[in-house]
Amino acid sequence: MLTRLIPKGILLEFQMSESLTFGGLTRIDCKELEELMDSKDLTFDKRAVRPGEFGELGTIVATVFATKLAIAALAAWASRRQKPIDVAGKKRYVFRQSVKMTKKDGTMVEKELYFEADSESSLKEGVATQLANAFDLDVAEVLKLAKGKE
Amino acid sequence: MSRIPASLRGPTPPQKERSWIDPLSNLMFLHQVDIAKSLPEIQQGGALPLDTLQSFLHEVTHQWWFDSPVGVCLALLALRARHRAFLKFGDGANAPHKSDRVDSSDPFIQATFEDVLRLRLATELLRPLAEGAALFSEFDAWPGDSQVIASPMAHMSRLFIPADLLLSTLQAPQTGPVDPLSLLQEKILRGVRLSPPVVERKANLLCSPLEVGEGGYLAGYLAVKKMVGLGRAHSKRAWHDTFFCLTFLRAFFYEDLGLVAAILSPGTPEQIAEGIVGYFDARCAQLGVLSQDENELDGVLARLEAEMVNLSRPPVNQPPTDGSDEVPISFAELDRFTPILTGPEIAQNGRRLLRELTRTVMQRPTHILGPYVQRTAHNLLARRLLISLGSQPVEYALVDGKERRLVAQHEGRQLWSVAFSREMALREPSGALELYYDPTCQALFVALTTESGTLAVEWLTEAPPDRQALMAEVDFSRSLIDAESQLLSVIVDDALEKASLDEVVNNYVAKVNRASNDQYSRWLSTHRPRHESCKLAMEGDGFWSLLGGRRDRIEALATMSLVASATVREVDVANALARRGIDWETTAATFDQIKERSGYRLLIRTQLGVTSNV
Repeated sequence: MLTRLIPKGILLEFQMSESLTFGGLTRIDCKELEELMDSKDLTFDKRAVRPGEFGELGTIVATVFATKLAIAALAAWASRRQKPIDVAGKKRYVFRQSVKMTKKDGTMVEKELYFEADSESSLKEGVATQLANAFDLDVAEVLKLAKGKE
Repeated sequence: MSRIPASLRGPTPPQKERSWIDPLSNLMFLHQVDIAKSLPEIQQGGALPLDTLQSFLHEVTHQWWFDSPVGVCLALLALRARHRAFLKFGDGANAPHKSDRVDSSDPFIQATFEDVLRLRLATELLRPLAEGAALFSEFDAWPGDSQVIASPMAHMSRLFIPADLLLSTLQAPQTGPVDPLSLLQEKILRGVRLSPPVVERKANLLCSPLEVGEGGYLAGYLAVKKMVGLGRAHSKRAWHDTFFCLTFLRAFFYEDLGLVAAILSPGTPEQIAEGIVGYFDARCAQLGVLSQDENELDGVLARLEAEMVNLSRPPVNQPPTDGSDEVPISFAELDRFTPILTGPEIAQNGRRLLRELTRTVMQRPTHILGPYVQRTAHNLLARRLLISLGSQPVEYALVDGKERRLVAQHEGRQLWSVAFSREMALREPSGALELYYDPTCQALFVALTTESGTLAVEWLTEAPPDRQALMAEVDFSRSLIDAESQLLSVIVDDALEKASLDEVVNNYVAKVNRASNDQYSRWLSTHRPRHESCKLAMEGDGFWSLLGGRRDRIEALATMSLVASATVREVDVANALARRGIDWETTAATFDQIKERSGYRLLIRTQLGVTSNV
């Protein structure tokens, strides 16, 4: 918890919003995330082309605020996005994404999320469980919400 | 607060997520190329990794188009604006930040304003076309039987095909209408273009806004596809070599001395804006008529091909090597360009205005800052011809032995070493290793740089002595290039803002963007949906809403159009979709329904098979 003395002598308490930031998204990814999430839990940095500059179409960076609903939606999106790959004759669903996690105290952790499962639903459960744990959210509740995001 | 564009600011801080090019310096940034990994490969005669090919094709197409009379004209305008502002304010005493207001009637400020206005208007008007060409090069263009090898294909052969394979291919006998090198290029492109990352790139494009405000990628791409499609329908020469179609479009728009004349003609701001937009509209209309006249188009293409093969069109921005104040010698070569369907008087006017612009930029001003200004202009023009393949941060060490060597290391591993004079001191322990390709002699070189300059240039492959001598004199330090650009552009930026002229520029740009939307829309008129609601939806998110907001449909459309650029055989399209788990019959039925609903033909059935105009 951070405190700050602002002018006029008023003591204001506030805390950083916990969030998850990840890049490399296409416009389709953004559209799907928008469909699954409440708009207040999601922001995009589209890195629009600047006047005078030329180049390939940029990818987009998303920031998701770590509410239970948003994490559930993110897990649903992650599982839906992945196409199964064939590993030794078996279907595997793999999700790999580099993320920056911002915690309540303002610290930022960079890590690569990696999940592998044998079905879309178990991939969703895996992503939901790990992200809920990472942000100290109620895992059972997030899983329940994620199941509703079919 | 409005800001002056990046072309005046110089290379933007590297955006690691995307590749880009600065049209002023023509300096590219390829985000996927890992020099530390690729350099040892290249030294052994290997090639750049194929997963960087799409970005390379995109940026190198920009580089190719900007290396042209129109591209050089815009770069020189940017440079002149910077230099004018620098000579007025750069010595510090008159710096605009020292006062709140700059007199907008000052002749220096007025001249700077005009240069910026011309540059911004032409850049924004041509942007969708330039992006469309780069995207067409990425996704659709194929080499064929033309005698002219388009620059992106020539560079791809040199940089993405291992040296031994390239040599054996060049020595192989031709057994059909298409030469062995073109066949090999086609094979490489086919393999890369149907890979999942490329399908994803194309799908991303298809969901970008149709409105030109955000770069005009989709509008420009669909317009270029339409331009090429029309040409192919009316000319066998165009049908068989779509990279040659891009060569033609480059010549038609970017080598057009009439467009140069429109950009540089004197006039009030209103007249300048109307002149540029009016000329571009007329040129587009001319292309529309030409593309549907079989005899005329084939004749123009044949003349262009012959001229390019026999006269070998020169690059236009070769700087003088003797430090003279004369106009660069190769600008005299402008006389050798036979402009396509541009009247001789208009072309002559364009030549004259471009020479005059060049002279004002290249001549050393009688000012204490004159030598600096002249050096930056020479450096910039020398670098514009080069293709930058990447940059790697390095640490330097000096190793003494029989000779002293400068060693560039990355994470403790030696990347490069070069003989280093014992008299020279190493003042900065770190910097960057830059890898360049010089297309004029098809040779590669590395430049070892620091924040303040270039320590050494060494060629990986043989290069003519005059090129070696020229490059030894040029600064390759990105930090230095960026710092110089920032310094110069901040002065322009502040001066125009404090003269309240920045908003005037922005208002004209907004007008041109509206005209640009209309022009590019005309090219799309046969694709566009009938219903206003669909049209509006496409302006915001391309094909996303039109296809019901379904990823699988967008990916199907992307895959189908990638295949259809190479073949019209329905079975090939069906097989490519099947490999991605998509059923062809269902897809075709869906696209037919969408056509019924919106009027947009995503799929075109012909006697030969299927094709797409997306």
